Amino acid sequence: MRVLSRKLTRDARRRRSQLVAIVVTVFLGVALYAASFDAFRNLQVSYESLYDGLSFADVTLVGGDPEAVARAVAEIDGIAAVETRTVAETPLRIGRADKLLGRIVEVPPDRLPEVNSVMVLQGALPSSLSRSDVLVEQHMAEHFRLGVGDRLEVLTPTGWSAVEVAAVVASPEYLWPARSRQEVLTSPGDFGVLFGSGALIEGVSAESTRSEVAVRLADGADGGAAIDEVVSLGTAAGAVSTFDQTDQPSNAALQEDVRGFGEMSFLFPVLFLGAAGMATSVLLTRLVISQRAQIGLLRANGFSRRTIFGHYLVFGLAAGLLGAVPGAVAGSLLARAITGLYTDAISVPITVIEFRPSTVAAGVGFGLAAGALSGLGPAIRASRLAPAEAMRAAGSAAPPRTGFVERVIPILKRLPAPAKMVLRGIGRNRGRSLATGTGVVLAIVLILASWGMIDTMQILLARQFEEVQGQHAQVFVERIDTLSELRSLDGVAAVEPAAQLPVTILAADTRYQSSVIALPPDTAMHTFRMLDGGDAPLPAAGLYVGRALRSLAGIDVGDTFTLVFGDTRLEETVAGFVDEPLGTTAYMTLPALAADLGAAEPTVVNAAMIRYEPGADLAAMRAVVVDVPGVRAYVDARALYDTVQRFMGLFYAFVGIMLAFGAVMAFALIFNTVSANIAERAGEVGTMKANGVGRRIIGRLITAENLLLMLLSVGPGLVVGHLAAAAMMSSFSSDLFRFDAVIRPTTYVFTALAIVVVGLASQGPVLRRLQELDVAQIVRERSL
Amino acid sequence: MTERTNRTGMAIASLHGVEKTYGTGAAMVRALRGVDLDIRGGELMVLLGPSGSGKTTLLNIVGGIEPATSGRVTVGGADIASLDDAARTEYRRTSVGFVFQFFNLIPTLTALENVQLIAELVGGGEPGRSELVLRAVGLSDRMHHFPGALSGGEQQRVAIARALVKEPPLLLCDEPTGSLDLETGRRVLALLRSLASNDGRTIVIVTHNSAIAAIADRVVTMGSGQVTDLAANPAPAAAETLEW
Ligand SMILES: Nc1ncnc2c1ncn2[C@@H]1O[C@H](COP(=O)(O)OP(=O)(O)O)[C@@H](O)[C@H]1O
Ligand SMILES: [Mg+2]
Repeated sequence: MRVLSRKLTRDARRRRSQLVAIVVTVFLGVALYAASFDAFRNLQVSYESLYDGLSFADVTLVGGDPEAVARAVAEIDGIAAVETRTVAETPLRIGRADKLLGRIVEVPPDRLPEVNSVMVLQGALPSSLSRSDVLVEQHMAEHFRLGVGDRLEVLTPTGWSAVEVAAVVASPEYLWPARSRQEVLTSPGDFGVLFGSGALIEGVSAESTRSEVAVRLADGADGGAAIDEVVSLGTAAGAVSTFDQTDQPSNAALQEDVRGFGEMSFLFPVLFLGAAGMATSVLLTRLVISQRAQIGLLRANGFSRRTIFGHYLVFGLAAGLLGAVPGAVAGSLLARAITGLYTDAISVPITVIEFRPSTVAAGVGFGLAAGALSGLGPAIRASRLAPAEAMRAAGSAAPPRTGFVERVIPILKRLPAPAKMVLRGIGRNRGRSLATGTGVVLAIVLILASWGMIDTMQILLARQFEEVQGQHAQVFVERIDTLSELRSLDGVAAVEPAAQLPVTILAADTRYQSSVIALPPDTAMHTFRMLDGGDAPLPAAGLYVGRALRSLAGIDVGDTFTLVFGDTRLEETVAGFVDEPLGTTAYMTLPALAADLGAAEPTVVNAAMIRYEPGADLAAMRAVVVDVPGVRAYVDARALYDTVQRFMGLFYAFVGIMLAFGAVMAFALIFNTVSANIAERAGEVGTMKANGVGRRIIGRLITAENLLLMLLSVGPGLVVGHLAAAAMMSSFSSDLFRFDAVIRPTTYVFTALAIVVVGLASQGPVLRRLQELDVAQIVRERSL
Repeated sequence: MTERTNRTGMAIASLHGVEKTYGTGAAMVRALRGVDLDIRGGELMVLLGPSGSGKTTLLNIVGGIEPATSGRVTVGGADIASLDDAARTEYRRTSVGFVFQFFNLIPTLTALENVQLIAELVGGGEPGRSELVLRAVGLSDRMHHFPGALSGGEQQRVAIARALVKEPPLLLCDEPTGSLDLETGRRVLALLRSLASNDGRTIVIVTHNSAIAAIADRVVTMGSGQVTDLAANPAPAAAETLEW
């Protein structure tokens, strides 16, 4: 069918700009898929290779007699290595201005650990690690600009004592420097990790120490079974608790982040390819409708249904292929950049970038599938057209009738004739109007889905850090006396006592690690935003808990649950759910906590919330506060906000790319639908021109009709767009992060405005060409 | 005269009691109400009737474009009514050529390509055949023009060439001059007349224009879905003498 394929290519050329727009949408969808999927895989592989290189522990046993536990598990089949060590929580001081929560992890003095090893990034491992040598974890080193030879101080029973940086290292346990499974978001200025000898740890004044046995399985060992055995033998030998890689704080945080990313790397391409497919389908349907007479003619002459079907399906396939091949290649390249940016941003020292032919193949497959699926409907429609259409199509313009809009709003019937023409133009060609409307809705959804996510993240984080939390800093203190000292400092506006304790929440069969913050009943440092709307003071009895607990443990207001502090178990009631996006902290009053623990209120206080005078220099205040002897550690609310933003860096980068892609795609879509809408009017315009209607009036009529159509579609578009953003956001949410879509009103306005403006601009070229078209030619071709 | 009588002999298509209804219930239209008719090989038949009398419907049924609701339609001895869609497609491909009022050329193909498209479909024949047919309808110098650059008469002649390139036993023309002016219409009719007289083709022309009946070998008149009159015309006029 040489001539038939010639017709195909010429038809394609006639609709070149629309075809290009479709190819662009497929290109973007496929590129996005390949980029995000490969980046997602690259990140996983990068972590894995670092974990393998540094023998990241497969399971860790905490507590008991470490030697006994180690002996018990060493015999198990499939164990590659076992290390015992002590971990101490102790304050650190850098210069005089910085005090922070610190952790010292024991490493053997003369060799690298066989499990949970470290990678030396700067300096070298001393042949023998003395009690004044430390290895500094890279995030802390970077934050405080610590290099080899620099000094910092650890707290000993006799006061601060200096240690020297021997090397800066990366650790598989602190790729993301999380303090615990729940305290995932800590600023490197507030929490830092050192590696040192056992002798050093023995000498420090620690808040707590624990012994750990870290176990690494051999390659190819049956992970599940071996871990189960390690846990059961280790526990029998005296280990108090255990965790595997899934619950290791750093890995859990990274996996959590990557998981959300992985889901988005699926959902966004689906959205994009869906939009591309829909646009293709709309374009091809319009093509089939406008070629009714041609199809009828071909059928009348004995072309088979199958030939006709194939003829139109090829359009979809070609658009799919033309977009998918370069899209898959571009996506693979983009994946490299994204992976690099991310590992750079969170300081992962090993970046593995792989080229995956399977991703390229899948991308091409998806593009082809989108093209084929979208071509299917129109192709079937074409193949089912009766050959008799050939005779009748030419004369069968739909009869003009009163438009839908006019029937709904009767007063419109009194409009002047040109306005009525505009209204009826919309009703008369329903297919065309629907196609344009669909394009507008899709375009808005593409933009709003990602812009809405960015808005949500920014609004909710700002709300949490600027409205919900009233403190500039939270400090940990040894005794409540320190508070009066803090109050007397210049620049301090308010200080409130507080207690923060790690707890385990037991409800139904759920066991959840969390922390309780206790504050004065009339606290001014925290606003409690309740899930059912409105703010509320702290309850006299019971706790406020994070909303994640409601779905996680299936508890509701008034229900009781068990709170475990160390050895103490308390029955508590849920007094309400706070609507906070981060974490699952529980809140109660200090008197209630003291009563529950059977202690005097002043003795349970271990922290203070501080607010400074307006305009205070935060850095200077930090230095002053940290210098107070009773202050053990300082948590800077602003720095935490920055950390959270940094943790969300991948989110912003990813969603930002989506937004850019979505915007380009939306504009391609709008261009497509609007220009198709106008291109179809050749006959109409020809007739109008032939009847002496001026160009300017023709232009105005068409513009008015399109504008009205776009405005009518904007509303549904914004609604669907909001829903899409909400769906995306919920796929990103977990127990630690929970965000319901919140979109700025200005975002809606800008999106709608951009779409309408681009829509009107898209009219230009086609309209001009139409107006300049040779009336004679249009009229001659009119029968087709 | 005798020569032509000899040529127009055997019925190559026959309709017996053909009925066609569209729609159901109140919206039902009886487009054909029992039509009996023979189309003889080599004749030029003009099907005359007012608009809505069922002419196009009849033509579509003979051409295998639409099935009859009841009755028998045999063409070349085969019963078209019992064919399934694939067989009907095959029948249209090999047995009939169509010419429409609105020429229905593919606008993105040149005159020659429009003809070649159909030539390819039926298996091409010898190379250069499409050119030959276009030359035969008098379009040797406009072959490479697109339909948008051709006059109505030229477009209709391309459409006739397109129908002829298949060498169909039966050529069906629905209002072939309906969109043409008098002079151009005459020329198209002259072409059709000569195709019947000189090449021995069987041609059915549907028209509501009674003047055209003069060039027919036989004139069938239709009204309200029935054949109301059938007249032989022993001395068909030359198309050039027609007036309307
Ligand atoms: N697809 C259809 N559905 C309903 N009625 C139809 C259809 N096609 C034709 N008709 C009706 O059948 C009758 C005959 O139509 P047609 O054969 O086209 O007449 P003619 O060609 O003689 O003008 C008319 O009344 C017409 O309205
Ligand atoms: Mg008709």
